[in-house]
Amino acid sequence: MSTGLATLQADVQAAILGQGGTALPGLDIYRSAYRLRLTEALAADYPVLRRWLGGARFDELARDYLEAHPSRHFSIRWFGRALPEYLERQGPLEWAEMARFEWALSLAFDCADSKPLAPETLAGIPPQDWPRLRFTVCPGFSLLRLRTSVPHVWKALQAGEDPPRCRVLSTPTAWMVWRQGLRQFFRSLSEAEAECLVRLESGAAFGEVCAGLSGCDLPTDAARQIALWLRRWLKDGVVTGLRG
Amino acid sequence: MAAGPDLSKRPFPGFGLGLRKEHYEAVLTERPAVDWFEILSENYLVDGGKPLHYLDRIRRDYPMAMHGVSLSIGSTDPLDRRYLERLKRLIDRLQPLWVSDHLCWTGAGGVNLHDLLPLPYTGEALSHVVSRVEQVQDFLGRRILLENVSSYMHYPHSEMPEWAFLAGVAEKADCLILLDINNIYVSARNHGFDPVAYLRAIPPERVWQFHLAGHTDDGEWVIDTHDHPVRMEVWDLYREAAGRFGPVATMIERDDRIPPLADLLCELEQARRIALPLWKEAA
Repeated sequence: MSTGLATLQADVQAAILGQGGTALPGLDIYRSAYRLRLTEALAADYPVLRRWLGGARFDELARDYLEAHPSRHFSIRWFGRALPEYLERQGPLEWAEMARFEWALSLAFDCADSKPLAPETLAGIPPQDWPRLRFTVCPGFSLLRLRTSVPHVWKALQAGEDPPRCRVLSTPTAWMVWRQGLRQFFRSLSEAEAECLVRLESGAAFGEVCAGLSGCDLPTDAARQIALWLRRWLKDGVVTGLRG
Repeated sequence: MAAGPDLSKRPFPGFGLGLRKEHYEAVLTERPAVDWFEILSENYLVDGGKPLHYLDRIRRDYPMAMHGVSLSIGSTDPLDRRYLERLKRLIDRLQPLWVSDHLCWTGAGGVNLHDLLPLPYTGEALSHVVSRVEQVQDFLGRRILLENVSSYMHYPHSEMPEWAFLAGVAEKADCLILLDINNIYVSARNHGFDPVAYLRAIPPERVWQFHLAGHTDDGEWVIDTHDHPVRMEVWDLYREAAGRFGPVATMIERDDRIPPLADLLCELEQARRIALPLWKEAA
């Protein structure tokens, strides 16, 4: 280890971060480039949040976030990871939820590829084996319970339209975000369907998933309901396989 | 250590461009006359989705070089094993022409500033970098190319000029050099040295790639912005380098204000017009 070099690097870094350090000639360029570059990276992760807040307010947020969460990953792709959590503590609820929503979309963007489970695979399974089946859910799948209507705001802003007013809901709504092929998707879902997916994803056997639903007080027969959902999960590429 | 191929047999894949997502579709449908592409490795250190989808398809048609920004070879932090492991997986997937990064440090104490910070050119820094290049080359099982960065900061601590430092690292660590012609020009202007003296000090057989790019010049500082076409002064320096080093793989980088692919192909044609006659003469 080079002690002289280590001290010098700590010193230069402190100056770039604006935490003291020695002002070497030319260092100002690195200091401003640092803020600019990391702000741009955050804007790339949260383009709609930025559009919603406006450039000036977003830049201010980025500056504060950068101070609290300097990047510690080799890839700048992960710099924005802690923004939702940061906003949970610091910011208005709807900003935090918009950040959660956009981060979920970005996780789906470059997660591992997967193929939907083929319905034929299931067709061959005898009925008595079904209760023991355990399914896998696609990588990059997120289930969010949001207390505001941010996905509607996101949709409008993404389309370049004036966003509707963001409402605070009396009960949270479940949203799922995932990728099929090369496209990210999202949709809202009932609490009962969300609960089934949570169980399914955690590796619960199909029988347990169905048993959980019976307590849900649904108007329709649980098994039939789950069969309908499962068909949709397969079609949408949400359910991708069977566990061992 | 003798990782990789014989130094006297420098490959010459021709003239390349940086692969940018804005051009994915155009590259696949138009199959442009680019000899090879350089990718920014970090953009593909992901698990799936569009980046790897396009990468694999384009790789079928073109050779590729991998260019990284996260090695932080000059940092006093330990080498990032997670990074090196992911990089190695991408190398296995792509079978690139070669793998490069920068002669710089990007942060310390676990923080990543995501910038290519110059090193103080001291004997201490030189031995530090040499030992790390050796570790990286051992781990990857191949020689790497190190690129000279543009610099704005001046360390009074430096004991030698940048070119002596770069040549020293390459010779002692037995690695290769990616010579960024624009960065030499930019740093020469900012620090007031002679760019041709820089070229003269570099061991020719270790130079396996040239970078060309545009910069901005506000009179006080010249900044390596990669958002403009290559400027006349840099073409002049490229002519000088091409004459001195012989056939070296050449590529153009553009990272901002990305123009249509056709514009970059025109610029690449300019590089061919400058270098090929020189290399034909020499042959």
